[in-house]
Amino acid sequence: MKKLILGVVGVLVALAVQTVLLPRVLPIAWRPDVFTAVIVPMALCMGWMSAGFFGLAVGLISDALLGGFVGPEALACFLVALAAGAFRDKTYAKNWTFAAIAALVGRILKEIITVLVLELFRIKTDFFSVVFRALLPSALLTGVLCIPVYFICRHLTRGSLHSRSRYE
Amino acid sequence: MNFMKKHPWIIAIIVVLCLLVVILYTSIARKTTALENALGTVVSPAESAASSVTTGIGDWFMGLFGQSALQKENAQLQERIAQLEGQIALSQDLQQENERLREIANFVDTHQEYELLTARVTAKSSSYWFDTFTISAGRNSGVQVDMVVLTPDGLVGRVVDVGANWSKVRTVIDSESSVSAMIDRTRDVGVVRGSNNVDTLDSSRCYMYYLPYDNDLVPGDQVLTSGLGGVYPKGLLIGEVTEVSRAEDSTERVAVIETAVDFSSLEEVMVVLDVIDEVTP
Repeated sequence: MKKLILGVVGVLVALAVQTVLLPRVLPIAWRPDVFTAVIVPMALCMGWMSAGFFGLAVGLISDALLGGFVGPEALACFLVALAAGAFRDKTYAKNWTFAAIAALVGRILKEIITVLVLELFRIKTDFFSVVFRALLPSALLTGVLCIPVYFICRHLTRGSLHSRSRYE
Repeated sequence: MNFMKKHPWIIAIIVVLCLLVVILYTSIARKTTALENALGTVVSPAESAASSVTTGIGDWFMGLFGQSALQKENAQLQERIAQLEGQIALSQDLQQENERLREIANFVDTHQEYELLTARVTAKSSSYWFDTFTISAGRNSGVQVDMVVLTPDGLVGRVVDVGANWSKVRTVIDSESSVSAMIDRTRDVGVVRGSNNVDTLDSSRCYMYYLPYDNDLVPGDQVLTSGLGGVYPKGLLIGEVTEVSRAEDSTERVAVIETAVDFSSLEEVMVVLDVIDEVTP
């Protein structure tokens, strides 16, 4: 129950920051992706399932409220969570540097997936024109934003790791 | 020395008497005496040294206590300045909101042919491919899909999705948007569309297509809705032409339009619930 409440609150906060706060403060070309910045550390610390459902929830709501149609954002978030979750038990992945790089790559990957889905549905995109002037700055900022989130996720999961080791 | 130790009172009286004599002497003859000269010569350098030392120490102490008081006053004044600056910023914000709402109220008064509903912009899309936002009015307020959204500056877009108390608006600069428009000066008709190009990110720009080859379009021409298509009423201001390009091997002319509405700073919008009488510009 506590996890569910935390998840709901997390979804609402992420949505509020991404769609209400950041558009007022930063131009779109320099806006980080809060969803990716939360999903990647969640996946690294808690596993692809928690992060995947979080991404699904936040992506669906975002698509419903602001997207052209429901699905692309949700799918992209879910796949990024899946990809990041594959590194959960790797020793080299248990540090904030890896999380930041993974978030950077995840941001780009998420945009590629979104573009593929949109092109599939005949919505014209101009991906290569936005890569250098918008996507890469956004990816860098997403990586930076991921760092404090990674520490929060690690702190939240530390208790469960300790209790696990007590009984093993 | 023994005498001094044995007779201290005598020594004291002798000294006092000598002093009285000196006082008497010097008070009558107001000329620096040799004694005074000698005393001054010996004592003055020592006095100067002592004065320098004590002045420095005294200034240091004075400075210490004095600066504390000044620093405190400085901090208090700075805090007060920060408070006042905050109040100024808040009142400026309120003033701007007041002006925006006043413009909307004036627009409603001068455009009686429209039944208008004012709503706040609540969230904006961060996608590179969709230019949409949500507003704080929905079905409960009478909003329906395809209703036109505008501001006193001009056309914003149309409602594409409606919830109980929210609606999604697609702007005219969205790549999926398509508005039948006409040039105010020449009355030529074309179609205004948005774009997904990086040059249109963070800008209020769209493009007009299907203009006749012989159209005499110039920068500065105003672009209005034509009323064709049945969605947008006739005569709503879309923007102004900033650039015209003409393809050599095509009859198509493309005009770059800077919209009248600044989409980066939208706070309140109006939804046209009903058109009582169409505008004939």
